[in-house]
Formats: sequence, structure tokens, C-alpha cells
Amino acid sequence: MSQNAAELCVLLVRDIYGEVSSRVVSVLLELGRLSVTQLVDQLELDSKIVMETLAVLIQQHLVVHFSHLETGRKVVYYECEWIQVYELLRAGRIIRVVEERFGSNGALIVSNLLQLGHARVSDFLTAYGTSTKKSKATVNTNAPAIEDELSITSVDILKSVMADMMKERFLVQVQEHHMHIRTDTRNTLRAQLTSQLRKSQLSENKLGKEVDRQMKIKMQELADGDTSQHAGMKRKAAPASKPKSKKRQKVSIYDLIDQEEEEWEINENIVLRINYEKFLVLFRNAELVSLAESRHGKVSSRVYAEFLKRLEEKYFRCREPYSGDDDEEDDPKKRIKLSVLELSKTFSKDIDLENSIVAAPRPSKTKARKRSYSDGEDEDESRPNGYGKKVNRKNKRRKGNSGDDDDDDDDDDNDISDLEELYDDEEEGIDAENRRKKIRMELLKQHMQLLAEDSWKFVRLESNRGFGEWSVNYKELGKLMRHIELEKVVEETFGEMGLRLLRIIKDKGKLEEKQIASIALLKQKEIRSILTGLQENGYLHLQEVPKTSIPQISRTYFLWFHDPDRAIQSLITDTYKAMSRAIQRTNVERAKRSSLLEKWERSDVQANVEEYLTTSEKRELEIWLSREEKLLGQLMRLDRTMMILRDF
Amino acid sequence: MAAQPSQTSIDAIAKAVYEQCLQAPSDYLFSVSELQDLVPGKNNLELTQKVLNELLRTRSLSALTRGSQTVFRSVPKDFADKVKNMTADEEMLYGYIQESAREGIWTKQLKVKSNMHSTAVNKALKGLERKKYIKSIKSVNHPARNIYMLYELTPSIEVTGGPWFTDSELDKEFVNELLTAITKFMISKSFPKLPTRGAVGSFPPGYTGYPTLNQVYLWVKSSNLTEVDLAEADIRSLLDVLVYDGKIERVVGGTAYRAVRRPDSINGFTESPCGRCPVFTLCKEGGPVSASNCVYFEDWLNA
Repeated sequence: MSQNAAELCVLLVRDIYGEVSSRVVSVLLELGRLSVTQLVDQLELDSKIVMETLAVLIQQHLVVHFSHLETGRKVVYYECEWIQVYELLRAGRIIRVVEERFGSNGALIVSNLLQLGHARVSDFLTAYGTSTKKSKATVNTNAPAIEDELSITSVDILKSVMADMMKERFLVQVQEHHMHIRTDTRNTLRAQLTSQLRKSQLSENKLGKEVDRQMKIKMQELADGDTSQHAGMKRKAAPASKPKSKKRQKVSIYDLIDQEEEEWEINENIVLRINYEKFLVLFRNAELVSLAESRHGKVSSRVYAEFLKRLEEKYFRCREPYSGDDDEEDDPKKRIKLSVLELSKTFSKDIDLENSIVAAPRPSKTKARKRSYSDGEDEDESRPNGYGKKVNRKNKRRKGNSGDDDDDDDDDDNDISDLEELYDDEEEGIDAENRRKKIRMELLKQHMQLLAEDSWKFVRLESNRGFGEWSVNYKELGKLMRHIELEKVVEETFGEMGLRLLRIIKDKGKLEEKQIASIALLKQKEIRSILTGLQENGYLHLQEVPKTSIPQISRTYFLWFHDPDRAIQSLITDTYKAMSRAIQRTNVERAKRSSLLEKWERSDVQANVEEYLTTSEKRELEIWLSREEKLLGQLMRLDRTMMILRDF
Repeated sequence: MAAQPSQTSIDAIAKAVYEQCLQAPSDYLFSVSELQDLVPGKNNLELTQKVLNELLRTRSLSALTRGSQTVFRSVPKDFADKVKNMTADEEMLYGYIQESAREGIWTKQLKVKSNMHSTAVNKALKGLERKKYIKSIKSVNHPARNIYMLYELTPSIEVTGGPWFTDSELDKEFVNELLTAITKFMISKSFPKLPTRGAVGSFPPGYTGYPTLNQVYLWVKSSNLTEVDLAEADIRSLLDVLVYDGKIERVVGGTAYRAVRRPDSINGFTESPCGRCPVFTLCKEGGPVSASNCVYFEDWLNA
């Protein structure tokens, strides 16, 4: 992690959990893993306070721990889980998404879990009996302010919502390794595996490879938790290799699932937490849909949204840390696919495809194409498929008279002519429902094709089964989104010229200034300063290639190149910094008006704002509120950029 | 033996021969025997020799070698007149400059070739330039070099840098205007026109009516956008630039182009004051620039 990220994390913790917690986190981030004694030394605080703080932070999953046996004594080390600290920012986002999907009950559960870190189901439910609902918990309302104004929903409903959320993996059961330091979990597992496999007397080289292979599987298992499909994979490893406790846990999970299927009830003994990874999958889909909308308009993007939603359950997280580099790419069988036929089954009927904006412009489309044909350029150009053809019946009719369409009709696919027949049958009223379904499917397919044809490759055609089977290459799309984000920054900072230069260099690899200028049709003098600027920001790099054995500046090629990973990393670091500044500025603005805000927060003043606050105070308050909103809004937008750059 | 022909008759014969030579195509090479046929009389070797000498002296003919043979080429009248006005140095340099044709020749090379002293070269070049026989040009590749070419020639594309250059400087406005015009053209061809304003539509998948390079080229030709003669390759480099600008993309297997809708360049980073801050790297809590004393934040909050 970078220093800027650490700064941001400390600020976040200070905002939410106060000064002491932030100091603990700051020391842990600065120095890495520490024992309590070391921590107390560093902080110069009472060890009791430190312990209490650690307990809170552990409950929130912000700090993880691991016990080691050192010289016969058990020593516990603590480490800050900084990604988890960062996730504090996303509370608002998560609650909003859950509210959309599971209603206010879901939001209630999630906002409570966000505050508690994790909770046993039974405890949660009992507490709920006496507790109150908190409908809105955004980042700024982090203090557990409780509003006593709600109707209590029945415990059963809560339980079923919880079960649903667990099924979709928005909530997961807390497992032992969640609380442990990742490196230690991995090291222990590796040590265990190595000692076991050593018995099988493999050569050292083979042993290493075998351990690596099994590690991958084990880590994946740990990360995925309770998916039954991993039962099959378990057989590969020696059964005894599994840590006892985990095995037991697994069994209980399966029990739970069975129980769920039969009785639809959640096991009250399990401890639940928020699964941030899964939310990222949703956020990524939303981001992709908005990208698709900007390219192809509302309707296509809604088709895309529905499609992605259907795939959602198959994706546990955005980036699979333990899968091989190109697993998905190598093996088309492993890809997650969905056909138009399947999609159409659940496709919302509210989405109007037929009279949508894509269907409406068809007459003009035909005209445009005819125009281009009459220009005499593409007469014999082969069309990969017949979908240049219009499906819209009215349109078909209207142009039916014009003779020049006849040869076009001849090369239509069978699908299409079927479809046309269907249209023609309409008046006879044969199985209207069926026909409508088929038309709808055809339109769906067209939208999917449009998305697939885009140079951004929103989807990928896998086979022609069921009106076309499609998959999504999230890995490439992630890269694309990151690059688009970078391009935006470059365009805003260096203008159109900067963007042009970046894209040329990315496309061509390594280039000299002179070549760049001639491709970009720009003056060498002009681009020099931009290239240097891009280099200063870490988006471009320079390589020197001496022409002679003794390096001389005049006899050296200077080649510009773009390293996407380094560029993105540098942008991420800057974004962390910008986020810290936004929070700091909010604090500064708040401090400037501290006495006013204290007055305003008093309950008697709150009850009677009009009377107790002077006009100037009210005006100042308004300024503060609008500024706070602006800064927090900006923070959220920065987080959006961060998600794309770091998480997708 | 015929009487010695007088100098005046030789001049007259020479003139007549020269006139006849001019009838031939300008790059026709005459052999000695052909020229001999043009001189009146038979077995007139001596006369022919004199006539040829006269013609060479007046630079009406220039002697060349083809294989072991000596051949002659007629020199156009106006050129012959020019040469008459030149000094020997000038004439030699003129020859080299003429050879370099539309590429032009660098003064340094002239010195090497002519093996003359630089003051002499400069003097001769000045003289030629004053008489408007040659001119100095600028090369895009070597802007610092002093390059000369014949006055009546236009520099080649390699020297001028092609249509994008005016006086060996890249003509930014010209390029930008063309880019803008082509973008507009591409947009008009890439999206269907919708009855409702502002609605977003797309051509159906598999649509192949997007403009090809040739179509764009023909459109530029017919649109009177520019008087400069642009080749298809020039249009291709313009389209390439537009692709790099992210305004258009290649479709139909790279044979055609279409405009793309670009997502708003709204980005959390550049929107925030930090994303555009000139002193971002200096910004540090407790430093000379920090969030608390930041003027950019103040402006942004007040905006």
C-alpha cells in the first residue's frame, strides 16, 4: 500500500472511531505487524486502552491477528487490514444497493452489520426485538445515532431476508481465517501442506510445484467458503491436510444449506458479516451498464443490465486472486455463458424493445444504407449476417414496393425470413403470444450483437445455441475501464493533444518523439512539453537506447512508452491523496464553524431552529451544509474512480 | 578541298543545326553521326567539329557519355541564354543544383562536389539567386540547412513535408479544420437519424454502410474543403489521428470507419480541485500547501 492510502485510512478511522483508534491504525500501517507490547511502546498509551481499542477494531474487521509460538510463549501479532478500512467509505453505497434489492429490511440488516462489523444471527434478532431501525447510515452519519421512530418488522421476515442475502452472498459467514492475518494463514497452510507432501517423497522441485498447486486450491476454497462445487475439488488434496477446525466448519455449512433448502430458515448460530467483494461485482456491472449506455443508448444498456444481472450469481468477486493468469481465456468451457433464450425467460416485460428507440429509426437506417450503396462503393460487400435487414414489419411493408430491396431480401438468414413470416401471419392471429415472444427474442439478440460488435466488446459470442450464447470477459473490460479512466484524466489535464499522444504510444509501443509528431500531425516542439508532463505524472516512461557502446546523449534514441500498470498505479496513488484532501478539507471547514455547529446540534436548538439561530448563523449553517455535501459528494466520486482503477 | 568556311558561316550553320536539334524531344540524345547529317555537305568532319565546338561553347548543346560514345543533348534556348550570363563558377554550381532537381541541394554538399572555396561558392550562389536562377528553400527534415534548388521548381513532398506543411511549419489550423470537418461527416454517417430529438439510436448489428477510406476521400475531394491536393494516404493519416483521438473507430474488419459516442469525461479525480492542482505534489499536511490553506479548494467550494 502507498503512503497516501495509509494517510486516507487513518483519516477514515479518525472520523469514525476517534483519535485513539486512528493512532493505533496509523502505527500499524506504518510499522506493519506488531504485538501488543510493541504497540503500547509505540503509542505511549495505557495498555488497557490499547487492548480495548484493538478489540473494537477487530470486531470491525479493521485489524486482524494471529498467534505464534515464540520461544515456547504464545505471542499475538496484530495487523491493520487497510482494504477493510477503505471499505468504510462504501457504507452508503452498499446500503443504497441493498435497499433497492431487499427493501428497507435489507437496508436495516446491512446498516447494522456495517456498524457492528459482524454479528451472530440469534444475537442480532434478539437485539432487534428491543432495538430500533436505522434507515439511513451514510459515511457522515457514522456515529451510531439511533432514531426511535420505527415500526418493528417481524423477526421471521428479517430472517428470510437475511437468508436471501446470504444466498446471494451479500452476507457471508465469518470464518476463522477472516480474523487472521492473511500472510500467516497462507504460511501456516503452506507449512502444513509441505510437511504432508514431504512424506510422499517427491523431489524438492516437484514438491514445490505440488504445494503451489494445492495452495491455490486451498486458498480459493477459503476465499469462496461455502460453495458446494468445491466438494469435488477437495478430493484432490489429501483429506487429512485440512485443518480440523475448518473441516468441521465446512460440514456445518453444508448442513446449513440443506436446511435452508428444505425449510428456508437461517441457522441462528452462525455469525454473519458483509461480503464487500460481492458488492463490488454489482458496482462493476453498474459501471459497465452506464458505459454501454453512453455508447449504445438506453435500451441496449438495459438489455445489458439484465444480462449482467443473470450472470451475477456466478461471480463471487471482481478479481480472482488465485486463478491462473489466463484460465478463463484458455478454456472456453470454463467461461460463464448465458443464451438469449434463457435471458428472455426472466427478461422484464416492462422494457420496451419493440417500439424502442432502436427499432424506431429503422426506416432512416435503410435509407442511409441505400444511400451508401447507391454511392457505388460497397455494392458487393458481404454482410456477415442478415441483420442489416429490418425486423420491423411496418417498415418492411412500406418499402416492399421498392424493387431495389429484392436482392437484399434474398440473402437473408432463415431466422429472419421466419420472422417475417411471423409478422405476415399476424393478422391471422395464430398463436400471437408465441410470435411476440419470438420477435422479442430476435430483438434481444440484436441488442446483444450490437454490444458484441462494439470495439469495446461488452459481450462475446460463445455459440449459436438458444439464439446465441454470450459471455462477458470481465478481465479485459476491467482493463478497458481502467484505461478509459486514465484517458479521461489525461484529456482533462493535457487536453486533446495529450490524449492523442497517449493513445498513439499505447498503440505503437515504443516511439521516438519525431515519429510521434508525424503520426499525430503535431509539431515536435508542441508535443515535447506534453510528453514531459505525461511522464511527470507517471503515465508515460522514457527508455534510452545508446547507439554506440559509449553512451552519449547525442547518440541515443529516446523512446517513449506507456506501461498501463504503472500508469494506473500512479493515478491510484494520486486519487488516494485527493480523497484524503477532501476529508481534511471537510474537517477544516467543520472546525472553522465548530461553535456554531455545537450550538446547532443541541437538542433544544434542533427543536426550534428558527428561534435560536440568528440570520447570519443560519446563513453560515447553510454554507456549511452545502460545502459538506459538495465535499462528500466529491469523495464518493473519487471512490467511484478508485473502484474502477483498483477493484474492477 | 573546300575553302575554309568563315566564322560567320559556321555560326549560321550552328544556328541551323541547333534549331533542328530543338525539334527533337528535349531529352533526345544525338550521336555524332546524327549531328553530322545535320551539317550540310558530305565528309564534312572538320566542319562538323567546328560547328559542334561552337555549339558547345555557346552552351546550346551539352555533351554526355553513353557507354564509350559521346552523345549530345540540346539545351533549351532560355537555358542557353541563362548560361551566357553566368560566370564559370556559377555555371558549375548551377549544374549541380539542376541535378538535385526537386530535392534541392545543401550548400555543404555543393562545396564538396564543386571542390570550391566557401567564399567562392557563396559568391556564386548569391549571384545566381540575384538573377533569380535559383532559390533557397527550407527542408522539414533539416530546418537548419541552407538548401538551394532551381528557381522555377516546387520542392518535393519529402522536402516540404507534404500537404500539412506551410513554409516547412506544420499548419495546425489547416489540419484541425480538416479533422473537424471529417469528424462531422463521420458522425452524420454513423448514427441513424431519429424522429425524436436527442434520442440515441444505433444501426443494426452487421451494418456495413459505414464510410470507407475511399468514401471519405471522395467526400473531401468533392466538398471543396481545401485547394490543397490531398492523396488518399493523407486522408488515411487524418483518419488515423481521429482514431487516436478516440472520435472514430475502425469497423467492418478495419475497412470502414464510424464515429463513436464518447462517455463524458467526468472523472472523480479531475473534477476535484486536487486533480487539477498545479502544486499537488507539494501538498502535505503541515506543509506550505495543505488542505487547510488551499486556495483552489476555496474557489471550488464557492463555485
